[in-house]
Amino acid sequence: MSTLMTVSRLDVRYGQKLAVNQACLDVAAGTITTIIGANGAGKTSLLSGLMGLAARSGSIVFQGRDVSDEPPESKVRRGMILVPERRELFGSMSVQDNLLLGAMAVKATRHSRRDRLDLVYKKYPRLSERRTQQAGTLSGGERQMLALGRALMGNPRLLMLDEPSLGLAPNFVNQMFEWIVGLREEGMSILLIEQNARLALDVAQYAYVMRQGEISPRADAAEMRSREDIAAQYLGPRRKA
Amino acid sequence: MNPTVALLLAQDGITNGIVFALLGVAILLVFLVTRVLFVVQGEFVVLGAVTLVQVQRGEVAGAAWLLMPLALLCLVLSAIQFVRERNSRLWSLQNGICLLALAIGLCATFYPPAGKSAWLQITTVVCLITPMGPLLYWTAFRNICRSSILTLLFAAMCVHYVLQGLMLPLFGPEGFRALPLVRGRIDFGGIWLSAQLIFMLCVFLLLTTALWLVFHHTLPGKALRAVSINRVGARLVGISSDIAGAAAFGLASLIGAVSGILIAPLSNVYYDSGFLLALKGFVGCVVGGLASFPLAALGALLTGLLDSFAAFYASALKDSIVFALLVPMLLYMSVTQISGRGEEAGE
Repeated sequence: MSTLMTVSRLDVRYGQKLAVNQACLDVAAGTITTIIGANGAGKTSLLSGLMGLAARSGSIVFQGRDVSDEPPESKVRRGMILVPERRELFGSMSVQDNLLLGAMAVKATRHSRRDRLDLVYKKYPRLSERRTQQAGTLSGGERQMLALGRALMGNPRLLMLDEPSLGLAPNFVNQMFEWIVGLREEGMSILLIEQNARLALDVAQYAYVMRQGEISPRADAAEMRSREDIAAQYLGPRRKA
Repeated sequence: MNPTVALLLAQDGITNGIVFALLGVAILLVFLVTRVLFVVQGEFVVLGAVTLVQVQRGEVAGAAWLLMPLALLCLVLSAIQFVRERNSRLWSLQNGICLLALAIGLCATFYPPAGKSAWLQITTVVCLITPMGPLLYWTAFRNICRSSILTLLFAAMCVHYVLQGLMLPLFGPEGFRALPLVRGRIDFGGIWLSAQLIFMLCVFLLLTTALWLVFHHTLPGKALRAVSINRVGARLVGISSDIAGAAAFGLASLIGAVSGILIAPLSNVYYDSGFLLALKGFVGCVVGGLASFPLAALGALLTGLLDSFAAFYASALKDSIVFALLVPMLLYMSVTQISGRGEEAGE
């Protein structure tokens, strides 16, 4: 399987504080790779470093090209798209404007942008119903849906999801993960960051564990699910099925 | 006060208010997109007004001697960046605009526009002043654009002093007053309004409508709004903060040039008139809550009216009265808002 992104010796710091220490990771094309870990382990910082939103050192190779020093907007143009933990929507703009702005970085005609918009509306009909509503007035689930839709408008090659289940109602979490699996089946490569380790390991092929800024070597998700030390720390008591 | 005086003062107030409103809208736009409190906006107005006078007199526009060195400086900075960083491109929007600015400057120096056509005069002023906005952004603000609001304000003050310092030897200490672009008075059922006032109102309405259309009905305009609503979100959808900043500065210098053209026939403009104008525009913004464009414009119109009536009742205290408007507004804001907006931590 070909490698889409290779990250080596990535450091991310906030002032003096080292949030991510010498992280190495690979994302294989067409798979879901997940990073699990406790709150504050540095998962979100890792993504900020990858996107270029936070100060970092180390190298990032995306589709065979060194993109380490590029600003976020040119990474977005290459198809590295992040759905951040805080969604970062444009609250006082309409749902449709939020989606259209998602395609800002794509070289597109007005026509092809409309086509993408229709595609996203078909995928998430709820957004279509709310297209003129202000993004700030949406419910938590709808906001997450909009953040995902906006990311898809940018024609991602690598979709990075930061805590997609955070703050969602339980039945909506399952729906969210169905969408994520659906996207992978369409051929999307996904880097998934999730505190709900059980759910993440269920859908992922590869997994990393982050602990206090350090990242583990890569493991098979299935293998990790069955490891007892991981289960004890991150998966919680196993519910009877 | 009798009605005639009141009407005169109101006319005067509205004319001032329109200029303050244009300044206020530009200052607010630059602040929302780049977090720079753009005190330099007043200098654009002065440059616009002085350039109009010089073009009318058939002189070489002094603004060209600011524009060309600025463009050269910008090119040098871009060349340094090109040598230092591997991934910067030789051909970019920035270098394109620098070359265009150089061409405009040379053209205005060696072929000063002759003729009495008002349109030619206006076009010359707009072409000379507008490129200065993006050029100033790239030279002075781009590399510090993630600093705190206070640092950015210091930088803006520095640019203001540098420009003002250059304008004194360039234009001299005398006042400039342009010939009116439109003459005469128009009778509205017994009330005589000056044609200049009508002209200003038309330009103001046209410009604000155009800005509204751009911000609400075009994708680039929406992208600028997106930057002002959520900076991080804008970067994540790939809106270049570099181009957004330059665009905001460019719109500001365009609005400044137009304000200069409007104000030039009405009052004497000196090399240092800009700062007070910008501050009054800023007061208008704050009265409007430093968040919404229509409110900022309305606040600035009120500021203009207050300015003119204050000049009648207590002319020595006129500026103090206008700036005293800030006090109740700041009190209200500090009571209703717990923390200031715009200052994002960890960015």
